[in-house]
Amino acid sequence: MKSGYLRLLRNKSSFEPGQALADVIRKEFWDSQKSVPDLSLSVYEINISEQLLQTNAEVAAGSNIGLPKKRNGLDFSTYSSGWNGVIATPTSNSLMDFQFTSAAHRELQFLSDTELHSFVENLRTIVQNATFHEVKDKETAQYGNERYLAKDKEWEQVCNLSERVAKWVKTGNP
Amino acid sequence: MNTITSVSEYGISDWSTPYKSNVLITVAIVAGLSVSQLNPETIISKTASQVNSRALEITKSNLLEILRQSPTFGGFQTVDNPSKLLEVARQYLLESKWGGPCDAMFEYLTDKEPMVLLNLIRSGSLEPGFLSTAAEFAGQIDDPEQVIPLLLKLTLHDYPMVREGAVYGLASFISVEDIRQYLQKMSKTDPSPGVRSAAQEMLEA
Repeated sequence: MKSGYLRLLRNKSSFEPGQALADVIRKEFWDSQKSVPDLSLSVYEINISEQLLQTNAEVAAGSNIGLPKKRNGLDFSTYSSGWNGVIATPTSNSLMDFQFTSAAHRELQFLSDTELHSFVENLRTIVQNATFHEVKDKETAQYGNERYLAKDKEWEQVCNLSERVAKWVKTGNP
Repeated sequence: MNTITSVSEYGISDWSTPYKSNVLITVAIVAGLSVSQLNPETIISKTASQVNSRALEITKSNLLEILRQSPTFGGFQTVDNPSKLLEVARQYLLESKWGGPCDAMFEYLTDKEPMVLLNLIRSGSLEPGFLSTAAEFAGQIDDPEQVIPLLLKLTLHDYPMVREGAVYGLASFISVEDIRQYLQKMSKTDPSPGVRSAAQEMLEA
């Protein structure tokens, strides 16, 4: 099974030309809990063509943040020549975690803002012709709903723990 | 801004440059002055007796109160220097517990202080990368009269990422026929392929 390093992106247009590098970082590479660049970028080592939907749905549910959703995926392994960081496997004991995505979770680590800026600047140049893996809100919600209706223990648990997540999982509507 | 020195005479001694504008506005609010009185000299003369006792209360909560006010910042839209409002917004962001914009801050404001989020967007203090995310969160605020015009304005922004954020925000109001038609138009005519695709996806969801 061919695997890659999936990076989930928020917007479809983030890498389109004419937008400042700093804003690409603010949009796609920013810490969710404090106002600083994210120097530990989450990627998922998966078979992207087969496991994209499951990964996105589980990451969305596990993050316990209704917004912003991820709408695009990019195989970072294609751009490995631009990496300076180290891929580690972070540990987490959150009750919101799913076994599959926890096992697939890696981090692309940077030592400084400057290093991250260089990486994104390089990435921005070389992804102009890249194939993005589109992720649709509706499909993500429907996947969660299917797992919930199938009485998947992990999906039942996140719904019990988070009203915000339960809202889209139980209805299948984003 | 020579008045800063004058204010110091009334017990305020540490107004560094970045604080000047919002301090003057905040002092005016604390003193209950109207917008027409909002000029440095008037503030000094009208608030002299109150500054000593109340100046130390000028805190984060005062900044928050300014940003909570009506969509037009209360009466502050008539201030001759709009940059003062921008400064208030910037100061709020810096002094917030998040230290500036991030998901957690936008999420909190959406749930707890929706008017502050809308006024931050209006203030022009958010860079495009943050504005895009803020627009998306704003769509979750159940106040279409306030939110829809603001998001429609953002669909005209130069940056595709901001227009796309506005599209996701507007998707919450897609049951409004005018919004549906607007997104249909964007799905065909927006210059950005990403924005067109986002608009189309929202129509199909």
